Amino acid sequence: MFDFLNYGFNQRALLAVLMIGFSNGALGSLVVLRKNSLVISALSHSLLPGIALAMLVFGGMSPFVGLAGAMFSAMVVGLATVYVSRKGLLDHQTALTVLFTSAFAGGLLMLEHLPGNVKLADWLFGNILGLRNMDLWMSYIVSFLIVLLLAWYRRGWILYLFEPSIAASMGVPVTRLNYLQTGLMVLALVTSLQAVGAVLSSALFIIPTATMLQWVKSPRALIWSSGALGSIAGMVSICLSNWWDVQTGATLILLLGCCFMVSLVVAPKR
Amino acid sequence: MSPHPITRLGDSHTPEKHHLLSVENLHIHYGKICALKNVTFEIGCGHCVGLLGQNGAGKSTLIKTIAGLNQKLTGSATWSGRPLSESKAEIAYLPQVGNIDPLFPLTVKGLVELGRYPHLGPRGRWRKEDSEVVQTALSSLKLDDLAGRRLFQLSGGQLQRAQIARALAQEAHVLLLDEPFAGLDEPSQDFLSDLFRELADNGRLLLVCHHDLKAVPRLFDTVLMLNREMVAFGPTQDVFTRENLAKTFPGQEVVVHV
Repeated sequence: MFDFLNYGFNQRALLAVLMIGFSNGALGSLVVLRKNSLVISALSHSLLPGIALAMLVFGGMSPFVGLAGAMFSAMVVGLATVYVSRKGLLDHQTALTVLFTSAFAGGLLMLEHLPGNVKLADWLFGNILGLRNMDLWMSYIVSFLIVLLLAWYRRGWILYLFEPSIAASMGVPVTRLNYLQTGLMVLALVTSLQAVGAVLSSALFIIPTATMLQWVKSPRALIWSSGALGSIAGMVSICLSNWWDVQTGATLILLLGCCFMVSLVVAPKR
Repeated sequence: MSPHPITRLGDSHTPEKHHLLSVENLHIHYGKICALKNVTFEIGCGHCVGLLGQNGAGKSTLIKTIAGLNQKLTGSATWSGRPLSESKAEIAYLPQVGNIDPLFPLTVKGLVELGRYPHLGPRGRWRKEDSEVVQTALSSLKLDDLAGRRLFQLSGGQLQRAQIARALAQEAHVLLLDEPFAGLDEPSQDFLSDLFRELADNGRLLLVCHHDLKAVPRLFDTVLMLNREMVAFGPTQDVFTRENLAKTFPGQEVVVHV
């Protein structure tokens, strides 16, 4: 039944999804509670042209090339959003949507001209079975960093999420946490692109938290239980995709979606 | 020369003399726009101060500044002779209830526990003493039965009480409240105004943004009137006059029984 674990690529996929599922799920609590759900999907789409550009410039793909490109485009889209929403008489969300769809379209065009065997489908939907050891190290580092920083500022995060002005009045470093959250979001997105791809990566942040919000009564419980749900769902989906011979990324998101629907109906209310 | 003489209040009957909020010649700019200028006053614990003025007069700006949320200011603001940035525990900021997300995953008790942050920092170990302070804060606002409720299950008045309990758990001396009566029904308003009196009598200092002029003399022993600059500051019976009201609310027909 678990014979598939004899293969190296399956072992790597299982480890990766364990870490990515946890760190993205936990970080997702911050995203949802700050009402940044749209921002994360915008960011995930705008990473694509940056990564494609970096691959064109450096002539190949490595985690660090990907990271540099992703950081670059996240920064450009972030700054451009501020500029456009100030200049163009639009709200932030509209500006963001204009920019990230344009950026994504630009990325698609660039991908056609990339050297090597990069497939468009891998970028859109991820290719977790194609992970190399180097990619795995990237996941280790990013996941460790996310969990460490969540734990390091733990009460600060909760106040910052609850009401930034109350937090600031109590001495929480709100500005620092804001930058930190954005930085961690970009890092986490880069790692999850390989697992589930640009289209579905925001789901890996949002759905575990949306599900656990139906159950828990405290932000701390929300953060850690969302991480646990992301991890467990990730590992289950590796097994399912092997048994049923279906795509891992899509299985994972669909599984999380089912958890959410069940919770919505079953969880005690009021 | 400051256009307003420094008004000293409360020295004679505050329990602790050094508990003095002192604002001197404060000016606040947002970009090129001057939001507030020439604010100078000094007041000790044991008072309930009404900040009066129309929309955009600078009431919220002033309490946010005292809460430490505005970095760009000239002049000085101190608590007990120390800069406000060193008095995070002593000063509690309570935004309008509408700013709080009722769906945030917190119970009343969880909200009150947040008040311990200035004492514990981000990672400090939760002590038995912290639980006791939280329990006392909940009891003194009669929130024991509601402690396990989620925020969305509370009325506006109950949420405001939970916020005040948070400030008490913080062991704050100064409470800065932004329109605490907004959207409350009459019984809740009465409960809250009695509570303010009680808190002031127990030696706390309350600064309350307020726009409804009817209840001012009953609610506040001291008023600070603002119209992008300080119009008047002093005991309500001396300062809350037709003349000052006309300056604070220019062009408005203000009907109050002074």
